[in-house]
Amino acid sequence: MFRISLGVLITMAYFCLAPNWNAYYSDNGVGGPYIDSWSIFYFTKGVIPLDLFWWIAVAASLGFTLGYKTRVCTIVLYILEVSMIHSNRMIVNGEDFTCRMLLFYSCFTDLGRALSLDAWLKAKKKIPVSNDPSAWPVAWPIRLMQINFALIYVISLPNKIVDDHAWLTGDAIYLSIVSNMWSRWPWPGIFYGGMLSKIMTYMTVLAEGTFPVLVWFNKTKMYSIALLASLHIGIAIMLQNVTFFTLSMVASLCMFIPGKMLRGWMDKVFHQGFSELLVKEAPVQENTQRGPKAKPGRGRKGRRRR
Amino acid sequence: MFWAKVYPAVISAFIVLNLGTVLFMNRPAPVMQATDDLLGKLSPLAAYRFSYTGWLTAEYAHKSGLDNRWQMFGRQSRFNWYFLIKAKTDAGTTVLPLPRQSPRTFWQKTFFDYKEAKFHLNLYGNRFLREAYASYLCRKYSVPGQPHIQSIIYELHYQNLLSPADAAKYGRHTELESYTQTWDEFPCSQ
Repeated sequence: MFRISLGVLITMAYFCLAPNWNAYYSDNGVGGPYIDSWSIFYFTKGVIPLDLFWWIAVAASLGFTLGYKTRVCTIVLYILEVSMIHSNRMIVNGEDFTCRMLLFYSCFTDLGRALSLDAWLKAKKKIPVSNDPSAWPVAWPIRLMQINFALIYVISLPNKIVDDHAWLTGDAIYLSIVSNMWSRWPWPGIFYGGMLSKIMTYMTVLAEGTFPVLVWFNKTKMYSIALLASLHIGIAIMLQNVTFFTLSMVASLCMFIPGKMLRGWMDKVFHQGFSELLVKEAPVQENTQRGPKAKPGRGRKGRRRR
Repeated sequence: MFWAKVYPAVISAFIVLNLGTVLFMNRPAPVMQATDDLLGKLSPLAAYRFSYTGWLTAEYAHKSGLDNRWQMFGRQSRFNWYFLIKAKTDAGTTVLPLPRQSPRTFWQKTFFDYKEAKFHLNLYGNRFLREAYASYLCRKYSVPGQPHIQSIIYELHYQNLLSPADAAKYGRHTELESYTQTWDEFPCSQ
């Protein structure tokens, strides 16, 4: 779900960049000549036309979304995202930084394991999936992504409160809503007076402040995710020019939802067994090498058997 | 066998490296100040080693993409503003047909111009960027047969915001007065 939602967002972002692609990222574009050489656009300047990279980006983002050659597409998207940021830092938005971080960690895990063309093709070819735990996809990149995502709020919330007292007085939401640059809310009058702004400002601080803690406990996880998702969806509705960033944060919340719960939801929404249709895996190959069963309590301190 | 033994340690080190890098790049200002003060008290060699380690960490952050300082709506503006970017030609001054200052279609406004606001925000505080953008506009709009562009002018228009209490009192959120000033003018090179 995380891969699909992020992939849809990245694909849409690239389509939205199409009219301005050359203006933003070429050597003689709006940002001036390339200053930072850590960019594939810099290394291929004059050799590979910049337009070709847009087509590569769209193909990679579609592959990433559908889960076809997922790892390759992830790496390509990461390289392109890094190149875009380094070739013109002045038009970088929040979604560029967020996607870059997520794609970096995604390079180390197999996001095409489920709900993907890769998985479907493996099942079709009847490639057996090993039951050996050492063959399972690694979980540490996902955990690292989750921790880094939670760190965003750990870092940004104190910065907000220190940099602008409006977050303490409750005027922050009012100032966002009346901003001609950020707001698309057509009825700013309901925020005059300050009470609604105070409520929403403090709810924002509450959602962002509690998420990094409550998301790790099963009892509070889903409430925390729902609260933060509501916050970001509200931002997407009421504010403009940050839509892709705020929706990338919503997409990132999918990585905190356990897979079993997602499959249960899909079965409820569609029909029983729907998730089994989508997560088709080949017959599991039993691990025929049976070693001695570990005795409880021995662990690593148990005597090694030769 | 060797890799099986070393793999957990390598992964752990990588995790510590990445999380440590993120925290390092987002040190609060007091921590940075305290670090600078501490470096001043160390011997030159020790200070160099600490500084070099910090530089390596920053380089890794820059290359891997973990160098962002996370701030989400950290500072709110107390005034509404926008740039009006004009071209000074032989025939007079004209407003350039750019996003945010010319009629746009629904698709342009909703989808294609989504980076323009942040771009203008960066233009506001960066003279080098304004100059680079002016140079780009000179090249783009210097069309044979059209009046020659002498310079690009950045005109800043702004209007202060009222407090929420005053907004409720007066029924509007901006002051009545608005202001205009020429922020910059960059001549187009020959």
